[in-house]
Amino acid sequence: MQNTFDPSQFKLDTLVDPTLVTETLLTNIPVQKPNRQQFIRTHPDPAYTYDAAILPYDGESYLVAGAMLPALDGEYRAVRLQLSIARGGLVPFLWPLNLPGGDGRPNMWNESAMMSARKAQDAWVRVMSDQAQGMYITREAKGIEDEPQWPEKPMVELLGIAFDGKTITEIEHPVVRRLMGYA
Amino acid sequence: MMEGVVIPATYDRFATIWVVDTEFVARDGDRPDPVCVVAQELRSGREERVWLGTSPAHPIRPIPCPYDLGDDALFVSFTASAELGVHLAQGWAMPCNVLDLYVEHLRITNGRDRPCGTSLLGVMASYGIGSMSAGVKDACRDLIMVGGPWDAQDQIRILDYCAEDVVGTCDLFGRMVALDHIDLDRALVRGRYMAAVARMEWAGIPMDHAGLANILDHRDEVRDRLITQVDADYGVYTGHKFNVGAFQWYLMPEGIAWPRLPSGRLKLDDDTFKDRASAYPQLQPLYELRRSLSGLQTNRLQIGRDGRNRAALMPFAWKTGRNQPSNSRFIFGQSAWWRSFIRADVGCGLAYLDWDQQEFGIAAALSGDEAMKAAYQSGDPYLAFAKQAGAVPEDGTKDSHPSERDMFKACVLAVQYGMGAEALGGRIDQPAIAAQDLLLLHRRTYHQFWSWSDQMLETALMRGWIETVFGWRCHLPVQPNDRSIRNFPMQANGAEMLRLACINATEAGIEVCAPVHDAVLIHGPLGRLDADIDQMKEIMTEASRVVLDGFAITAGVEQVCHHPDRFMDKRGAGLWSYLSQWAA
Repeated sequence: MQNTFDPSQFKLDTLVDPTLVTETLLTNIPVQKPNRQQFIRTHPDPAYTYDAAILPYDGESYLVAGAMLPALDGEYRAVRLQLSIARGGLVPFLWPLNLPGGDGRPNMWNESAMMSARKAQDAWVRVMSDQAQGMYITREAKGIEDEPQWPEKPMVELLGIAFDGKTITEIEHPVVRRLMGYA
Repeated sequence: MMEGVVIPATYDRFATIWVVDTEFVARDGDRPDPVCVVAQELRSGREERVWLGTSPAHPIRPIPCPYDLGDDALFVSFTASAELGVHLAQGWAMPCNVLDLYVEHLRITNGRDRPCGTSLLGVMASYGIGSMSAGVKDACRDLIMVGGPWDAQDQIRILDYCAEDVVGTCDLFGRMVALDHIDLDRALVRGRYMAAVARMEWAGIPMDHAGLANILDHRDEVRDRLITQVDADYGVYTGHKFNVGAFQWYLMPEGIAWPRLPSGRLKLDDDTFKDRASAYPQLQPLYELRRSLSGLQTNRLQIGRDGRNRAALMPFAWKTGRNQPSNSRFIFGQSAWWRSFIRADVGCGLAYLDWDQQEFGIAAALSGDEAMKAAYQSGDPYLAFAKQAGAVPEDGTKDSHPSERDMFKACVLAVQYGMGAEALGGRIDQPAIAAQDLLLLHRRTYHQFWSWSDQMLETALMRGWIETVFGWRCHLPVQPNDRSIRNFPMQANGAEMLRLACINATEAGIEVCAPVHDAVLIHGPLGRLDADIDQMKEIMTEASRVVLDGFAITAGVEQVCHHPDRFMDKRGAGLWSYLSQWAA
């Protein structure tokens, strides 16, 4: 062959097309305590916390509307829903942190959980119960440098996903009817 | 202009477009003996028919090539390596521009079903082009394969037959062009490789054919000797038969986990054995023995009259575009000890060169992961990965931290092969959770690579195809396999690299005997072998720069052997030591 062979001019760059992208759709956000064996982080922005009343029933957490609170006195818990994520996880979860009760008595479980959540704002931690001391203890990871990937949606949308179909706004709600003994 | 063929403007750069077919006699392992050539120029319709007639009674005559070969001519054929083998036999130059419709059809259908097959008639049928019946074609082929002598009528019949294939190829060209099935610039790069294939098939692999014939004449004794010698360490053969029960008893005290079929029986296929043998090196001789025994029965190595092994290289036959020569006909498809029959000609030597950690380097370059690039450029990516992950101190070496290096090497290879934690755990003899941690370390250390890999996977899934930097495309099946897609850029661009290296080496006059995955075997007189090796290394490194936008994958020499020394694959050295008496 006599012609000059310069194949580099015919190269393509088609492996990655940045216009063809997918997004992980958040279809479910669990409301749960952190798994004691997983390292977690909490969102440092206060906008990603939400104080609410939730009613745990049959393994699910229901969000209770303010107007329903008198009717459900003693059934719900006042919590701070804290956006959190486990290491390596793609889907965040809402950590329900119990808020102080109206009686003003200190509760080591609740206070230590709040402290763990604060620590998790800037460090990967494991949160474990210590039955002997009646509190949570926090273990901080020393060798993890990667940062969590937070969803870009606002908290109100995340709450909508977490409590989709699980909001109690009226006395006729099936869960309320069951608790009242009507069903 | 040929009736019905509309030539698009893209082809205006060519003053002539010659569609060519040849007939030749090809005895197993021999170079082709040309019989005739027919060529048709698409624009003018001009036809050239030339009888090349070879037989002992009609030696090759000095006939000039009847068509243009220059930069402004396009040579079109179906399986061009065959036509270009005739060029080499006739002493004709290679065409500057080769378009191989067979290769382009493979590209268009790669990953899809090919219900009509890949023969010229089948491909024509898939484009709705009628042709002579397969029976008539077979009869003509039989007439040619007799090898002559052919009387005047036979010659006319053979030339007509050849001309009919040319007409079919012209129609096929027209149809493929009309359907935009030819990506011309990159097709010409592939066509150029077909010329390299012709040269490599022409060269063949020099062999100790007398020794090989002697071994094959003593198959039974060879089989008995191999079993006696190798099985002494295992006790898993009863006579000539592999005893599965005894093998299970062997595995238990060795603590070797072995995959099982749903029925509970041991999986004993070649891939499983190969995988277990690389995880447990003590199994390597047994694996080689099993391959050897089956190879002794099925061996159909094609040795030409010049003592060289020649098998069709079957370029582009893998989905990744790699060559796929027949295992039973190609010496490198056989169990490792057979390669000891490879021996340079008198006064010559052989060299086997490959790229260093090619897939890791390609992954680093394509993904742009700086940590991965640095690991590759350190010269020992496995140790570098262990250091980057914090498992080995900065001043650690492969001597001071051999087990860590092995572990991280296994992890890198597991990522390349798409292994999960379970399989990697088996490979490194660790629980799956330890393997999972290693794989996570890979993800964290090379997060840019993983981000690129994820994006590349998504792009491929959304498009339904994936391709190399030179457009070798693979269509994804209905249920695509993530692991295959993630590995495709490394394997398929590695194949591109090999093709470029083979093109440049053969055009530079280096005698390339065979491409072997990511390696080449070259042969030459001792007076120029060292220079050829240096040039080949540079050509291979330069090919990587072209494919990877300047990133260099270095090439090294695995082995050099001068006549009368034999090529030696270390994996087969043990078995060879039991057999060398027959090959002496």
